[in-house]
Amino acid sequence: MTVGFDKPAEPRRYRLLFLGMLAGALALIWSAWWVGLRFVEQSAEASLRKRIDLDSLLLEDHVSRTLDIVTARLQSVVALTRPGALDAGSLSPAGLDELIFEDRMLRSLSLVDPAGQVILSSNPANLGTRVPAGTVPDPAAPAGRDGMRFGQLLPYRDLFQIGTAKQPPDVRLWVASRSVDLDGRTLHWLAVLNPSVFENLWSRLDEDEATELALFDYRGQRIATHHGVVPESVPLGRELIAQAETRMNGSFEPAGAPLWVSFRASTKHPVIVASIGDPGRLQLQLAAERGGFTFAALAATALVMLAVALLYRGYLKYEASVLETANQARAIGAHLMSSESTPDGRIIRVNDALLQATGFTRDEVLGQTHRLFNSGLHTAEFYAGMWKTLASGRIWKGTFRNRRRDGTHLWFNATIMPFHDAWGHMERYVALYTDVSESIVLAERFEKERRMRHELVRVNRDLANHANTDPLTGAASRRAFDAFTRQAIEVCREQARPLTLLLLDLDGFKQVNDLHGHAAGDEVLRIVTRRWAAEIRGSDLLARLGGEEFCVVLPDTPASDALAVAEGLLAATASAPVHIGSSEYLHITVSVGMASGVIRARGELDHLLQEADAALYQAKHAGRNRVCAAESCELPRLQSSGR
Amino acid sequence: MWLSVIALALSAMTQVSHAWVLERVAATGALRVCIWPEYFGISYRNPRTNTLHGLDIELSRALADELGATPEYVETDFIRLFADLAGRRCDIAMMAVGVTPERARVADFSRPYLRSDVYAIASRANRAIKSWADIDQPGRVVVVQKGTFMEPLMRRTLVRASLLAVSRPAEREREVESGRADVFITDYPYSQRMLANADWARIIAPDQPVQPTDYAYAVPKGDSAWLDRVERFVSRIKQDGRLAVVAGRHNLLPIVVRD
Repeated sequence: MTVGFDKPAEPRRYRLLFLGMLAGALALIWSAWWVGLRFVEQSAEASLRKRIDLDSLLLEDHVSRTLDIVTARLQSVVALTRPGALDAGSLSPAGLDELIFEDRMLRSLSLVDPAGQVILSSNPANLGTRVPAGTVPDPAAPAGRDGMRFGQLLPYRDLFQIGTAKQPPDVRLWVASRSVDLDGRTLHWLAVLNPSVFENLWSRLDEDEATELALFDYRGQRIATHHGVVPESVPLGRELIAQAETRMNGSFEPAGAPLWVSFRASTKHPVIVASIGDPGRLQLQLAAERGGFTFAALAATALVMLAVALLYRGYLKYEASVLETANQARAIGAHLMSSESTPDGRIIRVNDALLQATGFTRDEVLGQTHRLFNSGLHTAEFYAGMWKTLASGRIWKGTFRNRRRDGTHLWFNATIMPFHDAWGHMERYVALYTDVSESIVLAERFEKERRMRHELVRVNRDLANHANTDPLTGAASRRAFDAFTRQAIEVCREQARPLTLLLLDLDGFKQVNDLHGHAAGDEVLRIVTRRWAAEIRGSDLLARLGGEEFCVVLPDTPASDALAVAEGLLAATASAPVHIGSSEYLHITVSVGMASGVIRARGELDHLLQEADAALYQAKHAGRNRVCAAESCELPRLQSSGR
Repeated sequence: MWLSVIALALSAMTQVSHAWVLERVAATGALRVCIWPEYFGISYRNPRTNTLHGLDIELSRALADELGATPEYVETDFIRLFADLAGRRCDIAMMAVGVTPERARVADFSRPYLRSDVYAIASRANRAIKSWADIDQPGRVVVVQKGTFMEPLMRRTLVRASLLAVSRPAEREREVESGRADVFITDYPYSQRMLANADWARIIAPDQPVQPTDYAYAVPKGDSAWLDRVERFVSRIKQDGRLAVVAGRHNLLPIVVRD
């Protein structure tokens, strides 16, 4: 707690800070989400493009090498096709079968005469088959550099089926041919190729549905496709041929279909390998990943909101406690003076109340030690005791007499608390003061008054003997009156407090004497005197100045208080009839003249007595049974019963 | 009359050859075992190490051990096997021989220790054959290994498709891969080989059992003491769990006959 808490809480600023924190964290999460999605999408697209490029590179190589082997097989049978070879049996069906037995690309090898009839084949079923013109490579068409011609893709397993009943649609053949001149005739070696050999390899390499692999010949027809994702209706072939006319490899996006095509034309054979990426399918594959990202972002959002909510809740509690502390500190600061000092006693903070009380300015105080306020009235042992208590970590309480800036003195009740930091080290001292100067002065004055009153009571008691007492009533005699007033004047002078005299005179006392005799008069005097004595304090004096005239001396009593006493006397007098003799009762009243003033000398008392006398006269004149001062008269409180 | 004389002579010969194998094994200290070295999981020669592996290689060693002999492997195939047995070129065929009535006429069989149905292998590129029912269709070509029990089975069951029986090693695979045929028919152990070694291949299992066939050990006909000895061996390996352990090692547990 900082006693001089002067930093107000800043709720608006902190609420804004929390809102900003939340907004910042959410912005961070969702921008990471956005960037992450973009990144994943872009890298997936980039990797798809890269993969189709790589696929077309590898597959073109594989296709070219496979067709190289086909070329080599045809070359070797062409080389064997010498005059007489057919008759000599060096070219036999079994020999041809042995030649292609290990070859997965070749289904059969057949020799066709100019009329299109198969005259020799590795597959005995082909023998004698007439191959319709136009279904296999046209012998008239120009051959490639190596003498090779490639024909159409046909829905048959082998030559013998050409033109027969419909075959299973998935079995297709592709024919490569090479011409050879024998005995003046041009014969053709036909190799029935198995396009599935590529598809088998491709399906092993690539199970990704977002990519498609295809082999096209120069007519633009598909020789082989992979998993058939790209429909045959997409007229890729024509566009591919157009592209391949200007370059051997590259990539393009075909018109009318959202596809990416990477292609590579074989350098030796009339085929083009295309690897086709389908970004649409890529998006479908990415959807799952996108969902994962979004889930992660939502989860992070929830976590952040929870965390900020918890922090905010903690802050609200903290704010409430700070406010509570600040309010308490303000309340304490408003009521108490306070100062704070370092462990070595240097003042680091004072509140306005302390400055006001001591008359110093803040600049004069800060950095100084509390010796600034030292009045020099306390002993070294006093301070040593205080430091000992504080050094042991306990709270010290005591009263200082301090010095104001103007040199006058102040009484402080002080509570000094050692404040420790979180590690328990002494951090600073906080002192709270209350100014008790006034109460100390008051106490001093009260003590003096108490002593004076005690003195008057003692004087009163001393005067209570026969010589000083009226024998009839027991009231003080004139001599005692004089002695008491001497003392009272002294008190009055010393304390500058007013003294009041009440002169009492019984109404119609002469008639009582006349009608009922002196004995009755004396009885009346005795009874009323007893009643009056009960109405006054021990420090007051009731004296009989003569006849039926009495005086009450009220030291240290202002007129307002004395009036109450006088009224009490009136009431006591008239409170009950006075019983004289066997069955006679008299109703007695009294008139009172009151005079009040600060008396410093004997002469002034006489003057006051005259004033009281004048007031008594006034009371008599005004109708008796009342108290009059110089200015006004008061009727007794129980007036009705008094008459 | 003559017929009965021949029958009598034959039975006399059988009597004479009684305990022939056990005596010979005891005398030579060698047990001659007929195997087909192409039979993956059963009796297979690893081309890299040139050593034999498989369920029946392990079990034949166990049998030879029991007889106090060393196994001597005689390589054969399902075409020559029964001639080899009849000609006493081997004492026992331990190569998961499918038990058929035809074969039971020319050799004696132990109780079965495996039982497998047939499976078809197609190439991945062949998208038209998806189930067993797609096989027996016009224009389809089905390959079997000559001499195996699948050959008569397919000859019997195929109606629309044509059958091609081949005999050269690995010819079935090449016929299918080159597209000269659509599928070849084999059994569970061989299909496991295709699954493990040839990723161009797809296995098509029958929807309904086609013909689950018992696999047993075949011995030359008429040597009842030897057949008894083999029977005892088969019972023991089933009971003491050796068969299951060894079959598990070669991924053949699903086809073990436990009795």
